[in-house]
Amino acid sequence: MRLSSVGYLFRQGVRNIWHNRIMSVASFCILTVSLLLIGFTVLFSANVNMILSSVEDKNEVIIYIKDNTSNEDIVVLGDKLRGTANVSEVNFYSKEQAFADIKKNMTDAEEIFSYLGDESPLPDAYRIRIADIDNMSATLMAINGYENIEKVKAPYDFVNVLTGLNSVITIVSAVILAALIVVSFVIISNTTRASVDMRKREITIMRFVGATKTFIKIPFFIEGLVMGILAGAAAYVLTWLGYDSLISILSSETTLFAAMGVSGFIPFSRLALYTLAGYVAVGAVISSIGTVFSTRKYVKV
Amino acid sequence: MVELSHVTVSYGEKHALNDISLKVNDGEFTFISGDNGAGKSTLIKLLIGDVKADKIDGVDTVVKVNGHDLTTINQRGIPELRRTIGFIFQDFKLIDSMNVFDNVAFVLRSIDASTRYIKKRVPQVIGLMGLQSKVKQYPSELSGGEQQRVAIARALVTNPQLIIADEPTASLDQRAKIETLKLLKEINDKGTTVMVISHEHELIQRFGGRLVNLRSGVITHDIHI
Ligand SMILES: Nc1ncnc2c1ncn2[C@@H]1O[C@H](COP(=O)(O)OP(=O)(O)O)[C@@H](O)[C@H]1O
Ligand SMILES: [Mg+2]
Repeated sequence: MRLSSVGYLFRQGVRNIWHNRIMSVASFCILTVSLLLIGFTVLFSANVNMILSSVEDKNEVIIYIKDNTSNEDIVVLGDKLRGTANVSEVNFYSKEQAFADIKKNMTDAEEIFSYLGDESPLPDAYRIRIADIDNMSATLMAINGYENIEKVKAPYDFVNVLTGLNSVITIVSAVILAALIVVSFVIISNTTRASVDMRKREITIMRFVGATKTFIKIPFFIEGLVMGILAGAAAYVLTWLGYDSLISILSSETTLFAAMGVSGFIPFSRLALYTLAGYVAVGAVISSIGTVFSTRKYVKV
Repeated sequence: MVELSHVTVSYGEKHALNDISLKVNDGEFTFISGDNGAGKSTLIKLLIGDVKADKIDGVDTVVKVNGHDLTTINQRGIPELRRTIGFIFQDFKLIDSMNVFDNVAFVLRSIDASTRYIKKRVPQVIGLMGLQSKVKQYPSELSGGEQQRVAIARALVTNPQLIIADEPTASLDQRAKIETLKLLKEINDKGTTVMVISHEHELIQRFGGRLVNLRSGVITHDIHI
């Protein structure tokens, strides 16, 4: 195909959008809204995942050791913990160290500590890390059976809630994404169909004079592609405007998130490029597949 | 050249063309006539590869148009075949949003012609049809006869071996009918094969040439007037 023809077909595609402008605007709006919903679902998921992984960083479990356990038994317990599946890190945390840390953190209470003398009232402990937070309960159950353990302290409930939340979110967003993609696809197909209808006469002439199938279809493909890219760009701008204000609203709930150990949300600047690329790519792909599909149905040679 | 031998075309049970044989040589001028439902449109569709001849055991069917064998043609061959045929529609089928120049150029653009060739060739045929002064006008600003001349220019622009006109005069006034047929005759005189579908016996009598008449999918006359 000649370069001049490529340019011509491209202009025809853009012309289609203009001639078919009522449908084009409708389809642009719906595509933009779909992309926005897709985008926010993905961005929300990304934030939840980030929060979860930051919690996973704190996936520390403290194993308090019974008071009169001998040093040998403490070492045995440590080795046992190291040999336990799903335990990634084991550190001994002596009662002296624990006492010193508390004193350091609570300088206001110096007087109280002075009554306690130099002898630590706290137990010895192991601080361990869990590799896979989803299997935490099984791991802790196993550890609970070991000897010389006073108590196992885990951020258990909170982790459970978050992992549960995450799988629900994953499923819900998958369903939403699938539904939105189908809706966009149908909208685009209908727009293309309207566009094909409007150009019936041109298509007839092209068929009769011996235009190839590809040649007849390319303008519709371009039409879909341009619409997809425009909708992607619009969704990007709206996300850019909306994301940061949404974050600032959520971030004002500092106490809640701080209590959950959440350090913060992903700033838009870090997501901007991916978001733009994602929107444009998804818009273009949905849109061009939609048009190819409907030209296949309505354009015969 | 068109060569048909033992051609049957059916829509379901209905034989729109029933075992017809017809040969049209290069340079001929042929009228195809027949009542409604006689099979004229089906004949045209057959020639441009829009419908296929039935495959019947024991019958040696031949469908050849401008050197293309339509009994074996594939999807790629059809556009090539069509580029050798110029088609004129009864209702002109001009594109309302394009001016005369663009309507004619549209054909060449659709078959991947170069911009340079388009710029050279389109004014040539527009001149040939006496439409020089109308290049910038839109179809709605033209008379019926002028619109039909644009349609003829469009059929001519690819230099086809064969021009097929489907009732080109049906929606024109008397003067435009004669003018249109004169143009088609002139084109034929320069060597292009022309097939004209027409009901209008008065016009056919006046211009003369070969007349093939169809009825119920069968050729009833093939005469020279
Ligand atoms: N697509 C079709 N499906 C079924 N029957 C058809 C179709 N096209 C034409 N026919 C039938 O085939 C016969 C010939 O039709 P056609 O070739 O259109 O005749 P003409 O153009 O001479 O009026 C008619 O009886 C018509 O009803
Ligand atoms: Mg007919």
